[in-house]
Amino acid sequence: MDTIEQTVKSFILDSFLPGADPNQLEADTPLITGGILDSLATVQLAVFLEQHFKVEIAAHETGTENLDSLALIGAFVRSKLAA
Amino acid sequence: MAAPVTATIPGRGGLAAAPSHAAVDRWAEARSMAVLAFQLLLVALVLKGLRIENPVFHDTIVPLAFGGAVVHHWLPAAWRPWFFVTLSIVGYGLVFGTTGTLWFLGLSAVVITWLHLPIAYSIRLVGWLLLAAGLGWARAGNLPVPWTGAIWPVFGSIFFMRAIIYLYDLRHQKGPTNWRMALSYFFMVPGVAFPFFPMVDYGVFRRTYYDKPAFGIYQTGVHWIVRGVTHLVVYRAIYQYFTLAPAEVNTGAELVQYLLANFGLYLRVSGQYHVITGMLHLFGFRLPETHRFFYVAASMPDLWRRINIYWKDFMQKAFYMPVFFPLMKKRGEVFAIVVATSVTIVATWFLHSWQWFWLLGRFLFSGTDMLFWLLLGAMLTLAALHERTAGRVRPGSPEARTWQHQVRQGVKAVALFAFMASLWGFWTASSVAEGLNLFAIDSWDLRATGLVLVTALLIGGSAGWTDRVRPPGHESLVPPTAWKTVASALPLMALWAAGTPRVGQRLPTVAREVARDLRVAELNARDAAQLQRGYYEELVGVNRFNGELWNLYVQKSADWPRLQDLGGLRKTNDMLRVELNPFLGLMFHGHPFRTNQWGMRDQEYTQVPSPGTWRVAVLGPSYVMGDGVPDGHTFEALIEGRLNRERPVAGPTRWEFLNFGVSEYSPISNLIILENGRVASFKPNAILLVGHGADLMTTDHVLWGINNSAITHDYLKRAVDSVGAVKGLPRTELLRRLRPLERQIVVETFRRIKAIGDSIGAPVFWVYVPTPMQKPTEERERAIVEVAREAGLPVIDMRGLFAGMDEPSLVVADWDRHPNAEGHRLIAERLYQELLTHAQYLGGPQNAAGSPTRP
Repeated sequence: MDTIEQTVKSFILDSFLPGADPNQLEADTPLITGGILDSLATVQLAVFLEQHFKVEIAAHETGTENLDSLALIGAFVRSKLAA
Repeated sequence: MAAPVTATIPGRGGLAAAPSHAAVDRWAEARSMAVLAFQLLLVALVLKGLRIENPVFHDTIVPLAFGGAVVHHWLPAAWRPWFFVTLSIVGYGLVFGTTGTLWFLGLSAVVITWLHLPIAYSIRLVGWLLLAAGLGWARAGNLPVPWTGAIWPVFGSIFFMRAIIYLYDLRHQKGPTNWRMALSYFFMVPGVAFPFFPMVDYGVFRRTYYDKPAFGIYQTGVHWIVRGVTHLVVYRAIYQYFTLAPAEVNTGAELVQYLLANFGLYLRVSGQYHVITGMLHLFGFRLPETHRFFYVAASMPDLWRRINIYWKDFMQKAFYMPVFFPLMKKRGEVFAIVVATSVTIVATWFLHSWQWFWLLGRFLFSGTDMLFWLLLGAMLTLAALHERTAGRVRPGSPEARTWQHQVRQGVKAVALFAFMASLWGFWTASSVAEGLNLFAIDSWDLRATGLVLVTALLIGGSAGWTDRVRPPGHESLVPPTAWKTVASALPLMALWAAGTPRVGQRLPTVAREVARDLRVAELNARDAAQLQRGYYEELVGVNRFNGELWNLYVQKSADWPRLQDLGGLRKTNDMLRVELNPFLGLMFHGHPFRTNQWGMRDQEYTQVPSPGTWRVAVLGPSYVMGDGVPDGHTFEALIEGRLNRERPVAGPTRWEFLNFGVSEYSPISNLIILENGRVASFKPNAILLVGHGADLMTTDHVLWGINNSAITHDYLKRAVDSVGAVKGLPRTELLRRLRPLERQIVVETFRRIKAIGDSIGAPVFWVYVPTPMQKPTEERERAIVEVAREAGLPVIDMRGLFAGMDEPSLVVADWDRHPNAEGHRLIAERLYQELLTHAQYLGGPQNAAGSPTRP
């Protein structure tokens, strides 16, 4: 798992799944469709991504297409950083 | 056992992720496909056997889609989406016909082209709104259009509901349009059979296309179809056995039953959505689940996340996030939650009404509906604010696995279920007053307490357990195995088998009755009229919201099948030819068609009547049986119901009209069921022999007897011998010889019928019942009445019953001239009045004239 995914994974484990087994959260574990991230948590994650990676995220980018798994989040942040 | 097919590039544009065959062991792949095809075959048989959900689905779309899915897999990746689009359009063609499909595609082309014109997005959006307004004006019936009204619900569902998501994504789209995926999204094949369609997210639709090994996706699809059918069968059980009309709610137990059943009816939506998304999986669209254990949600936001998940995602994407995200940064979380939740609820309320409009042709603006959404919105906002401060235990966290958490979840789930069932019951009431009146019960008894306790135990017990068994998103990580799918389908297969004659005849009566009832999707119309239908019940029942579409659904599927084509009749191998099978549960010509254990198209009766009961045996042909009308809407059933309600004749404590009518029965058939003791075994007090102009045309029946060497009656033998009508002669010659004998054969048949009636103490009276748009000549009508009189039968003559009426509106369809429900109602109305003047046939005294014959 890349650094971005590892960072986001730590954030999700600390913020939303305290005490959970890190091995259970895999790169393709569904976060939004799997019920781990609700709307409020999704926004908190988006704010975290903005602040930590210094990227700007629009409201329409906070859906499952970008944030539903660690793999998707990693790809999304990388595309933002590259832009 | 399913061989994984390597996904090449798990791309985000959809097509790139389609499986490559190059890297796959072809033998293993073929074996996996064989296993899948076998399952699809079983599922197709179950769907057809259980008649899920309408004929066009199980007879046309299922074979098309299942067969297509197998072919689809073997195609080169680039061809697959185009194949899917073509297959889908073929599906539309099979349902709408050539002209309807051309109109549908033409209208679709207008909308799709407009959405992609190289002009500013805002202009395209305004243009789309104007199109919606213009076509909406036509949908409401204000503008004549050259296309069939059947296409409205499907067209509206695609281009004015699902297209909202597409429009949203179009705004943020980067790069050129992926036409293969766009057209797949608009025309996906199950859409033509399910106008009430889930709000599939276009982005998810593209992103999840073959993003996992193919056979895992397919297997999940089959599994979900099975799960959906299970929901639909449970829904049927609730519908058949537990629903009550609001007016029937008087006690606590009835209130609890009403609320539970009403809330339970939502299973039809979850069932349909599982079937739809399961079918899409077969083409590689690995969509997320649409519902997840929603009855055991433990809080309002939890319910919002579990019930109709696609709608929640749609709202979150299009309304909640665009409001919440900027507001939170400017005004803080609390303000953002309150405003964004309010906007979401208002949008949900309006768009539900908008959806209702395209399906039903009118908007939904009722007091109960507004109050429902207002209350739901308030509760959701408060619960979201509470969750913000108190936090929530998420699936996968260690706390979620503790027994303390599971107990808490159980208690909360019971409380929420009670609240939602009550709110749902209120929502489905026709007015606020009726909704409130539901709860004004007279008493609370032990049964009510028992029902509450059992429900609480079931809901509470499952609440903490369900997520452990199947955590959210589980199936996207671990697809089910074929064995698991087949195991979960076993109850459905057992139910299907119980409905087949070979297995059914070995089962006890109760089991056969249950199997029969669960094979019928719809309530009979009498019950349906009494039941207060809720929002979703109105929308998912296409036969209720769009008659034209429903006609297409039933007509196109099997070309207006005959009852014998559906297994409704069994051959007797004698002159009777056929009789109705017992325990039938069919959809016949668009309506539920049930028979009782005795093979009558009627409710259950004991063979021996209870003391004080006055029984009338009703004999006649197809329209007596009720071809083309729902259960309980035959004229004899209406008369029986009215007699028992109004009790107009002193004497009997109860009236029972037993329907012995069967398709194709002639006077000779009626004589046979009197001779063989079938009628007598039910101890009737009178026999109502229904007559029609066609009664004189017995030649076909006699001809059948000659050709099958089945004539045993002496008078028929003599008649046939007298003209030398023997097997082997050309049909035209036989007809020429037999036709002059029709009158004498019918007279003798009637005489014998009368004699048998007299001998068993059940006087026969003959009623001439005309049918709309089937006018025998006046001469023929007069002739049959004279024949009945000549045979010594008392006559009730209802000639001219439909004179001056709009007869085309009283028949089942243009191509089927049997009287429809209104036609039966008119027959019942007139015959009821006639019977009151001939009260001796109802167990009362004779009329003043002392004669049952109308002067």
